[in-house]
Amino acid sequence: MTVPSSQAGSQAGASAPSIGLRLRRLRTGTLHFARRHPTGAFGAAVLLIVVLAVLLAGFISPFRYDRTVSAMVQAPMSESIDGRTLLLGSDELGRDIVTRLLHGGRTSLLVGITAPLIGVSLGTLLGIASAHYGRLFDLLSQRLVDTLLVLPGLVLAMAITVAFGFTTLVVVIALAVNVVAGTARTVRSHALTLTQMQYVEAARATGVTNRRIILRHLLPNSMAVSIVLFTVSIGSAITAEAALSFLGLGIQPPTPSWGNMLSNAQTFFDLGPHIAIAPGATITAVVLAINLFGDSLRDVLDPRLRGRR
Amino acid sequence: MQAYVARRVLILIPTLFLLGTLLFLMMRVMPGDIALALTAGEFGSIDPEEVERLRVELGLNDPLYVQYFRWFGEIVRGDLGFSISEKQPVADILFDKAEVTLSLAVLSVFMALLWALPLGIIAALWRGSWVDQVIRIITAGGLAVPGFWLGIVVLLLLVRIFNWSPPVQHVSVFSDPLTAFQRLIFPALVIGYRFAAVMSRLTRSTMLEVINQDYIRTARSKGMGSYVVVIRHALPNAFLPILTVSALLFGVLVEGAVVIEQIFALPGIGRQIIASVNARDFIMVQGIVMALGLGLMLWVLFIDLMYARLDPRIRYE
Repeated sequence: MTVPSSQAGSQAGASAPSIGLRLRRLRTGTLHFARRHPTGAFGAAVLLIVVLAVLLAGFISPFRYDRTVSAMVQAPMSESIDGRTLLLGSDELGRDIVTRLLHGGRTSLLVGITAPLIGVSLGTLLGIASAHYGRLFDLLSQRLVDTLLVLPGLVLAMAITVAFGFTTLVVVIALAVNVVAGTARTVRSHALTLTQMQYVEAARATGVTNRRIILRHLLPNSMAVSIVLFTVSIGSAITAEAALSFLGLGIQPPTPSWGNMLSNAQTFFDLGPHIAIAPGATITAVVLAINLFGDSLRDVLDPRLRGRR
Repeated sequence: MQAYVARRVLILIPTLFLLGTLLFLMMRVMPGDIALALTAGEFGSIDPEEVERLRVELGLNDPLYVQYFRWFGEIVRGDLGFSISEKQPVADILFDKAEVTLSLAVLSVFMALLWALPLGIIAALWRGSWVDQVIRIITAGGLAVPGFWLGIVVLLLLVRIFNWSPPVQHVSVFSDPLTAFQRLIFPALVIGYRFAAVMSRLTRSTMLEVINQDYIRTARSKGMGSYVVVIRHALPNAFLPILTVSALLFGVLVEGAVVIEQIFALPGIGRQIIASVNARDFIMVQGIVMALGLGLMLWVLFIDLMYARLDPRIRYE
């Protein structure tokens, strides 16, 4: 007997879905998410547009972020030297604000995404290890977490950047440190309930190694919590970077960031309020979009947190 | 109860010790030192002999561990050290500046709770209605707006549109409360916005949990007015989680103060931290952060102890 080829194909498809099927699933999944959580979908759409715009900064804007293109502090919709329209005007050095927003967004989003990514990853591992190994390791790591939680995040970040230099890498690390402690605390309490589960007990009883218990049981089951913490942290990381750079203790000019674009805002507000309003409004809009998306994501990924908004 | 307090106080010691060690190490990595900063002349000219003399005088040439133990010895005796850039003992400066920051913090929390609690309760009672949506937008804004930017905008709107600027001269809350209030109210509102956003969301969610409890239904079915049910039955039970989070938001207040004091030119601890960091006065920075850390830990302990008062079901073993 020969098996019809189409049937064989579908059997193979059951174990490893084809790309077409995956795409269809992704599409229905996305549509379902958009219908159930319109605000979350709106946030995601805004984010997608911002990320694309920032990545394509060089194609979108004809100007360079560090070149003077007009007289200083020109109002929005005024003209540059070579006769182009400056949509949001120019800043105190006559540089195009739209171009600086696009390029500044690269820095701000890079910091805003990598810092929580590093912080949440380390925090998750620390939290899980703390819950799994317990005893002395738990005690010591929790005292470290206590210590970090005691420090106001911005002050700690300031101390780190002043000590190690005002480079993007140091700013990322400084902000990541802030995320580690909070994540470790939350993930630890979640993982503690996991370690009491029967399947973990069964794994331990059959002699499964620590490494495997952590990687196969504890880590996957903590992912939902970590992903939610990650999205929530992006918004605060972007704001924190802005505050640091605004104070002159973060990203340094000429590299633009949404924060350091505001460092002269107070001085020039009288001449051109748009210098201050554009970056601030951008930060607000982006963080709002992230929070809307994060809230909806939390509802989907972590049903226990539902209703706690 | 006493054993519990004793244990909690004991646990403060290793945390403070670790905090001190971390701080000490971090401050020594800082490039540039105070001896250089102090002796630099008007045009950045430096007299190497003078720098050396100062380094010896300040003990900066001693091995790191000697400096470390000396500093710890002083801390243990309650001496936070002497600020070279301010030419005053650190504790005195802290004491001076604490008044501004504390009154700012208290006013922020008070103003925030004044509107956050009612908003949260209303949002919970009218869940899903347009009122709830409007309140959600207001709170979502509070979480998204960078505080320092809001501060700049508020300050300049006051100056430009209302032609009103806050009093420039700083006065003590105790000697001239009205002027001090005028000076602090807008920074407090700005700091409080973020705080209020978190509080009102939390109030809404805890109220929603409480409102669905049996005893609320019982109270309603006995014919109690909904106002009485909310105030007498629901609110006290929703208060505990609100209190917990407000304790943890101390950090939000300090961060707010650091930036907002800078913008509104308030001579508080936040402004002092930035000035000291820029002056490379690490003794001062260490002192401020240690004091802040201790303050936060005692505050959290206080809140934990308050639980027993607010909820008689909680017992400390």
